[in-house]
Parts: sequence; structure tokens; C-alpha cells
Amino acid sequence: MTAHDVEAVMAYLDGELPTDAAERMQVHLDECEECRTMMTELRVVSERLGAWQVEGAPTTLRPRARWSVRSLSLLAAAAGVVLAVALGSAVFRPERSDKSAPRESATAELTAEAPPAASARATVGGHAGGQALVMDQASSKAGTESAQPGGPLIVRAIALNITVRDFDASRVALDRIARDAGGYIGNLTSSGPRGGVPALHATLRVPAARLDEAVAALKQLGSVTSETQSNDDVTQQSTDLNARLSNARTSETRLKEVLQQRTGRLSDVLDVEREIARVRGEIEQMEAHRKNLDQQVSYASVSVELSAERKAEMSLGPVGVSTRLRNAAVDGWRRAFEGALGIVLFIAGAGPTLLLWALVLAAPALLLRRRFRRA
Amino acid sequence: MSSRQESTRWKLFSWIRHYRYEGIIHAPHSTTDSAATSDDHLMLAARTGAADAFPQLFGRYREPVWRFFRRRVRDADRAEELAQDVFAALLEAAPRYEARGTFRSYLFGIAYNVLLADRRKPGRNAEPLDEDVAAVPCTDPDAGIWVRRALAQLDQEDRQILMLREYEQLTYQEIADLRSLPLNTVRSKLFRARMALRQALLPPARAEEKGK
Repeated sequence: MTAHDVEAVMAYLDGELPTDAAERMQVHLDECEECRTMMTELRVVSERLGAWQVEGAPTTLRPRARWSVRSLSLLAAAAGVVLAVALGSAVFRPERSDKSAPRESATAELTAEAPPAASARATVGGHAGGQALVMDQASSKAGTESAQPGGPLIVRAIALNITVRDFDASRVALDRIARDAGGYIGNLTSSGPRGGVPALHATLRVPAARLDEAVAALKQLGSVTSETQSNDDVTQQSTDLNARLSNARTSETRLKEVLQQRTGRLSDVLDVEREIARVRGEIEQMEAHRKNLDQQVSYASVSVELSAERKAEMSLGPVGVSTRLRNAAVDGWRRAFEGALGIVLFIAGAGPTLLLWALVLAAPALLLRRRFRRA
Repeated sequence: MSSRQESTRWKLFSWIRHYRYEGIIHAPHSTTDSAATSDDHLMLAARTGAADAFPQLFGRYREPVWRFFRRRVRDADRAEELAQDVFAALLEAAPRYEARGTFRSYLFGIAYNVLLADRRKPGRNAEPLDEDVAAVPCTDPDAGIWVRRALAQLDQEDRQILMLREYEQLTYQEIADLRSLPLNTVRSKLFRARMALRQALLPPARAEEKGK
């Protein structure tokens, strides 16, 4: 030990020297004035420092059970989570109705190509069981009036929606059927959007007598998805028409006779001629009407809508796997999310109640613990 | 430590201790050693859940911990709160307590950390030592205010070590553990701090003489 290792003196003062060093220091101090002075001064410094007294601890400083910061923060965190969840679930609300939305969107490919098959409506109009009126275009008068042996006049119409397998073949078959039945195709519209299902709307006119056979033939083309029949009874209408027509013709004849017989004043002649012209006009109108009616009665109309089968289903075979995988993945995520949300909702629902009970039970529990500890 | 040294120490400082250390548990090392053991025992007892162990510890260290904070925190209420925090932390850490070093270094280590944490909070940088004190005539060196002013002039680290030594009576090793410093560093800083205070304390003439 150095003679004037003043740090050692201080250490000796603090009782920090090991025994042997302390003994040596003691010896040294007995001999060294300087070091003794140092020691005294150090002592005085400590003494002075001791002048700084502070008051004793307040009585309120007692062992008391308090919420530890950790438990408080945990509680606060839990409350925060519950609050956040409650707010979050209120703000972000997945539409329940969309539960199958991914499935729908995923399978949209499957269904996009296949608009619902329109029904082929074969409207058949015709004579229910009545006379087959032979259409005589040349003389309507004779034809119509002689073709009324009694029995109602009915305009038949049938509408058929048929889904066919082979669309093109069916289209050709339509022509054939119409011809075979002695009829014709009134109008035809076909649509075939690219990538879409081709569809066709046609109106067939077939003789009323051959209606049933034509309809049967049409039904052979594919599967009938809908069928509608309408039978309009136009007998009264026809009778009225005939009566009026007959009157008009009679009037015309009479007027013509008057014209021929009387050669009266010019004005009278002019009046008569004017009247004749008017009657003639009416007659022609009525004849046209009756012709139409006759045609409707004699030729039933079949309104056919053909649509091809949904080929898209078949063609999606290879694609279906990946789409199904995607469906499954989307479904899986959605299910997982729903599950997690369910848990979170449960916490949100049960959390406040549990919190309330915890608070209610905490106070007596703490009291008991404190009492137990004091014992 | 030899009984001779022990008696010498007692002779020199017993009256100082009586003056300074009332209420504070302090004793020569032997008693301190046994007290430390006892403290450890109590702590371990508290760890195993003995009901009266912790209250005993609390009773022992209530004043020292309070004074630790009272000398370092301006506001008395805050000091009390921090003291409570120390005991709460002690209680919480009881299950994990391992006797490493003395219990005192452990306890005051907690106190020191609590203090640092509190100081880190915004707007809490006031300690008694930073107070602006009116000029105190040097002829009244025994006033506590002198001490505070003198301590304020010290280096922060030196001051901490000095206070831990003088007020908390931690041993060099305990201070070293607490502050994570080598023992020699603690000794040097302590010596430097005391020298600085000695300089401030002595009358100018004598200080000049010493300074030569």
C-alpha cells in the first residue's frame, strides 16, 4: 500500500478495506499526520452532508394493495380491445347476404354463357274441332259465306319454348315441319351472340287441321320448356262482319239501280255516286278484315322459340377445377374470417359484462387479500 | 473485519451515526451482513408467500426508500408515490427474486430505476438540487441548503454515487452493482466528489493552502 494513497484512506474510512489492508492503514495513520488530516476532512465532509435532513416518511406511506401497473394495463388493454372490437364490428359490417357472393362470382363463369332457355312458344291458332276452312283467295265472298256450316270460328295459337340439342339442325327442321304441314314460316328472328347461346324465334302458319301434327313434330325437336295455347272465339265477330258486309253490298246494289234508273237532276246523281263510293270503301274494308279473320281461323299460328342447350356447362369441364379451387379458397377465407369475427363478436358481446363483474368482484377480493396479508 | 478496526470505527463515527442515521438501518458490516441475510430470508419468504414477510421488509425499508426519493424529487407527494411504486415493484418481482448481491442494492436498484423512469417523463426534471437557491453566506455551512447547492455543482454521476454512499449507505460494491460500474471507478468518483465538496466547504484561506 502506497504511503499516501488517499483513496485508500477514504476506503478505510468507509470500512471498505480488506482486513489486512485496513490493519496496515491503521498503522500508517498512526504515523502520518497528512493522512490523518485527510481523514478528518473527509469525515467533516460527511458530517456536513448529513446536515441535509429530510422529514420522515408520511403516515400515508403504508403497504397497501393497489392495482399493479401490469394488471391495470392489462385491464386497460382488454377494455381497449373490447372497445375497438365493438367499434370495428359496428363500422365494418360484412354483408351477410353475401355469404354466397364469392360462390356466385366464381360460378358466374359457369352461368354467364347460359341465359335461361327461352321457351319455344308455338302458338297455334286454328279451328278447335270445326271446319277446316279452305282458303280461297280469289273470291272471298263465296268462300267465306259458304264456309259456315255452323260451329264456332276459333283462332288458335300455340306458343312453344323448346330447348334443343342441335340448334342448327333444329332450325332446318322448322322449315321442314312447316312445309310438311302445308304451312309456311311467317317470320323468323334468330340471335346468336358470340360465345352466347343461340336462340331463335319463329312464327309458323299451318293449316288448322294440320296443327296438331305440326306441334307434335316440333316437340320432337327437343325438350319443351313451356307451352301456351290460346283459342279465340271469333264467331260473333265474324257473323257481325258478314252481316255488315251483306248490308253494305245490298246498299251498293240498290244505289247502282237507282243510278241506272233515274236520270234525275245532276246533283242527285252526284249524291248517289258519292254514296256508292262510300259504301264501296266500307265494303272493301270489311272484306279485308274478314279475309284476315279467315286466314287466322284457317291457318293456326305456332310461335316457336328455340334455344340451344347450355353447352357452356360441358365446355367448362377443364376450367371447372381451377374455378372450384378458387371457390374453395375464397370460401375458406370467408369461413375463417366469419369464425374469427364470431370469436371477436363474442368477446365484444361478453366482454363488457365480464369486465363489469370483474370490477364488481374486485373490490371485496382486494379487501379480503389485504386483510389476509395483514394477518 | 477485526474487532480492533471495528471499535476504532465505532469510536470515530458512532456519534455521527447517531446524528445522521436515526431511523435508518445502518450498522457495521457485521450487522449489515446479518441484516442482509435476514433481508434475503425475508425476501425469499415473501417469494414463497409468507404473509408477514413483506410487511416486515416494508417496515425496515420504509424510511430509507422514502428518504431516497425525498432527496431526489422536489415534490413530496411525488416522492411518496414513487416510494409506493418501489414497494409495489418489489412485491411484483418477489416471485422472481434471486439473491444476487445484497438486498439493499437490489432494493435501491429498483428505486433508482423508478426514479429514472419518472425523470424521463416530460416536465418532471425538477429535483431539489436544481433549485435556485438564494446566495447563502458561506459562514453557515451546516445549513442543508448549502449541501444542496454544493451537491448541485457536482458532476451528475459523481453526485449519485456520493449520495448513495452518504445517505443510503451502500457499500462500494453495492453501488457498483447498482450503477453497473467497476468497483475502482466507484471509488475514484466518490473520492473526487468528496474532494470537490471539501473544497467548497473549507474556508478560502485553508482551501488555498490545501490547493498548493
